[in-house]
Amino acid sequence: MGELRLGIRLKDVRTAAGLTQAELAERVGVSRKTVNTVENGVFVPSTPLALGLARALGVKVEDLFWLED
Amino acid sequence: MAGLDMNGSELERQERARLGRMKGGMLLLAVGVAGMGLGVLASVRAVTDDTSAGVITGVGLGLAVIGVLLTWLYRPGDQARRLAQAGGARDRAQRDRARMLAIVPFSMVAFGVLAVKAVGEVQNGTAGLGDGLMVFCGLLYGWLGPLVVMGWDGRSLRNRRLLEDELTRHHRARAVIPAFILLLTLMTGLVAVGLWRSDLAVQLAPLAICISGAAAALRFAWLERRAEADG
Repeated sequence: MGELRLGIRLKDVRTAAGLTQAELAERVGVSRKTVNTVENGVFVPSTPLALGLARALGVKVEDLFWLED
Repeated sequence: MAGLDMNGSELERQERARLGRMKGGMLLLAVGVAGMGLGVLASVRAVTDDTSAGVITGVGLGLAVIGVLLTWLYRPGDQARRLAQAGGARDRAQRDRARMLAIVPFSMVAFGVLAVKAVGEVQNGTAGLGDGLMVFCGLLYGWLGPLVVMGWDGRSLRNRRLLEDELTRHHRARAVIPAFILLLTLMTGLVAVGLWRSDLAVQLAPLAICISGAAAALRFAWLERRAEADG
């Protein structure tokens, strides 16, 4: 099995929800730069953080993150 | 809305504090420039000997440099831009920590260098109280940066809720690991030097500690700043 690569659609979902990075960060309880680095693919979030982001945006975690082939 | 109001008040408080620090920097700059002027004047007019005039000029220059740095660090920003970037108390607190960690390494290395000389005096048996204090301060400063990076300083412990999150822990690991490797490398080098000149190895040890600590602090600050950038 090769290296697992994470697909990310956080920015699209967040902007569709009409939220800024700061507002989403405030809802989840992390810093704005945490949201920024997750969106840019610089930082891979833990499972609790990924679930927290999905809950704050009212979507399923699979709508935000998925494994790329 | 109460939360938003509180954030606004907090931002205003931060702005007032920033303005105060900037004014302090400008005052230091003014005092420093005045000191430099006095020093030069004293030298030109031969009011005092060259050494005293040099010391006055040097102290003035030091104060002026610190003043310029403080004024620049706490320069006014556009309020709207600050509000847009702020993103809450957590971001502001973490930004303050990164700003501090970008400055502290320079004083850490400076104290490390001074400690090298002081250890030499202790080894020669010519040390005074000042040399003993300098060794202590050098070692203390060597620990300062890493303590803040690890979140073990008083401020971090008090504000753990704001300063500690998943990205902080990620950056901490990425900052401390290379600094640890640097520390191992420097200590290995010192052991090699110690085989030839044990006194020199002991003398250089505080500097190695300070350099490694400074590396951790600078790396952490750089990672935090980079994470702030969009795109």
